[in-house]
Amino acid sequence: MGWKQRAKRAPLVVAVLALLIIGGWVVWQLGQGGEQEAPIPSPGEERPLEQVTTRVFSADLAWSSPLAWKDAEDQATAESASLPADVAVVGGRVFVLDTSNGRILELAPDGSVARILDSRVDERMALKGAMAMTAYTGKLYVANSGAGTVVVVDPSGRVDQVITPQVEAAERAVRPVGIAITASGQFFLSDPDNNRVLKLDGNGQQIASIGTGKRDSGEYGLNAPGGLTLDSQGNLYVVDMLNYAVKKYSPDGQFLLSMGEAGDTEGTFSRPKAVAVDGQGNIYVSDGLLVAVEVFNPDGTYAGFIGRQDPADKESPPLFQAPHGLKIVGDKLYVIDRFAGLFQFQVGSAGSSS
Amino acid sequence: MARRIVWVASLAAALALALSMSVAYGGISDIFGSDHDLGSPGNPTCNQCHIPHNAQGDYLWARDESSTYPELTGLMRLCFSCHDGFVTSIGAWIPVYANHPVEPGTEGEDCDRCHDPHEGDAWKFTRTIPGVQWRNANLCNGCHADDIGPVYHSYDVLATSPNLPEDRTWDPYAYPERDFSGTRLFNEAGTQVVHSGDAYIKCATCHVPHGGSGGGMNSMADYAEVDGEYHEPICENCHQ
Ligand code: HEC
Ligand code: HEC
Ligand code: HEC
Ligand code: HEC
Ligand code: HEC
Repeated sequence: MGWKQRAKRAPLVVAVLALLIIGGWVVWQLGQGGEQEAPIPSPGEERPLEQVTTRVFSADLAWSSPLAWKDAEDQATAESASLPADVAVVGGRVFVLDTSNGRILELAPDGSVARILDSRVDERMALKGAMAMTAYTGKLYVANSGAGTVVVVDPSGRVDQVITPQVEAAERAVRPVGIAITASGQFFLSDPDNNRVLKLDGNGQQIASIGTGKRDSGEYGLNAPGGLTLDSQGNLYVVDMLNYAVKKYSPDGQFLLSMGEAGDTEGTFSRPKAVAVDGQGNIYVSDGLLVAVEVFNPDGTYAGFIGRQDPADKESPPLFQAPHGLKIVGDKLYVIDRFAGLFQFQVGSAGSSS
Repeated sequence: MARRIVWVASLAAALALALSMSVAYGGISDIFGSDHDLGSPGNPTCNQCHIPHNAQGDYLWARDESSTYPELTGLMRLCFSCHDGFVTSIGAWIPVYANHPVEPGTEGEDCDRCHDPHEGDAWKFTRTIPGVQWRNANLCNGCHADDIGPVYHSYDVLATSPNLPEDRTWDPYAYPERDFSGTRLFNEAGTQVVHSGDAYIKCATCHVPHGGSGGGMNSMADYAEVDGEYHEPICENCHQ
C-alpha cells in the first residue's frame, strides 16, 4: 500500500556515494588529541577514500552490578558507554546518551569522556532506557523512554525541567523513543508502543498526532515509529520502523512523501532506526540489520550508503555494528553505534538537523 | 512480482516441511495473535523476521551474521534489532548482562536453545520440551538432566532444595538497579506463568538465563564482603 516502486539504482550508487562522502572521513583519533582532517579528494577523482580510525570512544559493554552488594558509588564509573543510543551537539560540545548506564557523557575533542552527567550531578537525571536526545536553545532534551517523560538538561548536567506529556489516553503508556523540536519550541515525540507520533506544545500538552491507533500502514498509518527529525523548512521525517519506510510530513502534518521498502539489499530497509537531514535536504537513515546508513535524495530516491570499511568496496566488512542515533550539525554527520561507539563523517554540505 | 512468487512458493514449501516436523517447531500460525504478530496492511507479520526480497541469510533472514561483537552474532542480531529498547523495551538490557552460553549462528544452539519466536502460546516464547516432567525444570533439564549433560548438578538439586520460594522479586527494568534476584514462574508444562504452588522453573531461583550478578548464570554472587563481614548472597537469598 502506498509503496514506491523499487528504483533502478545500481549504476547510480557508486557515483553518488563518492560524492556524498566528499570530504573523506574526518575522524577523531583516540589518544592523538585534536581533530584530524583526512586528505580531501576532489569530487570525481578516482581514488579510494582515506580511512582513519573511526571509533571516537569505546562503547564496550560496561558491567554494572545490579545488586546492592556493591557500593553504590562503585557503579557506572567506567569511562565507556553501554549501549549508547544517541548523540547531540550543543555549541560545539558533543554529548552521548549512555542509555544502559542511564546517563549522558560529554566527550572531549579527542573522543575521551570529559564529564559524566548523571544522578550524582542532579538527582532528577533519572534516565531509564532513554533512547533519544536533541539540542534546543543550548539545552539537551532527552526522550526518557522508560519513564515516559522528556528531561531537559543543561550542558552542566543540571536538570532544568521534567516534562510529562499530557496526551490522549492510548492502549499503553507513552514511551517516547524519538524526539524533534520545532523552531518555535513545539515537540514531536514518537510513541512506538501506541503506533503514533505526538505533537506537543512546550508544556507537553498534546496539539496533534499522526497514527490511526493501531498497527497500520498508508499515508497516516504507522507501525512502530522510531527516529524523528525536522528539516530546515520544518517538515517532519518519521522512521516507520515496522513498515520499512521513512515518511515525510509538512509542518501542518500533511503527508508528503514515503521512501524505502522492505528488503535486505541496499536501498531497502531491514530495520530502519533513526533519520537526519542535511542542508541540501538529503535524508540519512540508520539501519540496524543492514548495518549501514542509507542516503536518499530530497525527492526520496535512493542515493547510496555509508557503512563499509572500504567505501569503494561494498563487499568489504561493515564499518558499524548496530548503527542507531544520527545527527547532522554543519557539514558533519554523527552516527552512534549501539556497540561500536561514535562515528563522525564529513557530508559535503552545510546545514543542520536536530 | 516474480520475486514475490518465489518467496511465496519457497515459504509454502518450507511451511509444509515445518509442519511435517511439527514436533520440533511451534506451529507457524502460533505467531498470529502473539507479541510477534507485528504486521500491518501490506507488511505481513512474517516479513518482520523473514524478509522476502533478495534475502541473503538462512531462513530468508535480513541479517548479517558477521560481527566482531559476540553479543551481536547469530540470532541475537535479529532479536536485538527489535529488542533494543527502540522497537520494544522488552529485553533491551539483555546484551549487557551475562547470558546462558549460546553458539551464535548454530541452529538449536543459539537463542533458540530456549526460545522459538514461533511458540506464540508459550510463556516468553520458550521452546516446549514435551513429554517429561523434571519437576518444573523441563526447559533446563531438557539439556541438563544428569543423564543428558554436558553440565549438570551431580546430585538432584531440586530434590535437595524442595522449598524454593516462588515469590522472589524480578525486575530487569528497575531503576537505578536492576533486580535479578527473583524466580520466574512456569506451570508444569513450562508454558505459562503461575504464581503459586509448585509450578515454576526452580532452577531460576539460582540461575537466571539473562542477567544475574553472580558468576556464570548465578542470580547472585557466591560470596561478598559487606562491612567486613563474609556473606553468601546466593545462599542467603533463601537462608537468611
Ligand atoms: C519474531 C520473528 C519471527 C517471525 C515474526 C516469524 N518467524 Fe519464522 N522463524 C523465526 C526464527 C527465529 C526461526 C528459526 C527457528 C529455530 O531456529 O528454531 C524461524 C523459522 C521459520 C521457518 C523454518 C522452520 C524450519 O523448519 O526450520 C519457517 C518456514 C518460518 N519461520 C516461517 C514463518 C512464517 C510463515 C511466519 C509468519 C506467520 C514467520 N515465520 C514469522 C522467527 C520469526
Ligand atoms: C520485529 C521485531 C521483533 C523481533 C525481530 C523479535 N521480537 Fe521479540 N518481541 C517483539 C515485540 C514488539 C514484543 C512485545 C513487547 C511488548 O509487549 O512491549 C516481543 C516480545 C518478545 C518476548 C516476550 C516478552 C514478554 O514479556 O512476554 C520474548 C521472549 C521475545 N520477544 C523474544 C524474541 C527473540 C528470542 C527474538 C529473536 C529470535 C525476537 N524476540 C525477535 C518484537 C520483536
Ligand atoms: C537458557 C535458556 C535461554 C537462552 C539460551 C536464552 N533465553 Fe531469553 N529467556 C529465557 C527465560 C527463561 C526467559 C524468561 C525469564 C527471564 O527473563 O529470565 C527469557 C526472557 C527473554 C526475553 C524477555 C525478557 C523480558 O523482560 O520479558 C527476551 C527478549 C529474550 N529472552 C531474548 C533472548 C535472546 C535474544 C537470546 C539469545 C541471545 C536468549 N533470550 C537466550 C531463557 C533463555
Ligand atoms: C538446548 C540445550 C540447553 C537448554 C534448554 C539449557 N541449557 Fe544450560 N547449557 C547448555 C550448554 C550446551 C551449556 C554449556 C556447556 C559448556 O560449558 O560447554 C550450558 C551451560 C549452562 C550453565 C553453566 C553456565 C556457565 O557459565 O558455566 C548453567 C548454570 C546452565 N546452563 C543453566 C541452565 C538453565 C537454568 C536452563 C533453563 C532456564 C538451561 N541451562 C537451559 C545447554 C542448554
Ligand atoms: C539452590 C540454588 C540452585 C538451584 C535451585 C539450581 N542450581 Fe545449578 N548451580 C548452583 C550453584 C551455586 C552452582 C555452582 C556450583 C559450583 O560452583 O559447584 C550451580 C551450577 C550449575 C551448573 C554448572 C555445573 C558445572 O559443572 O559447571 C549447571 C549446568 C546447573 N547448575 C544447572 C541447574 C539446573 C538445570 C537447575 C534446575 C534443575 C539448577 N541448576 C538449580 C545453584 C543452584
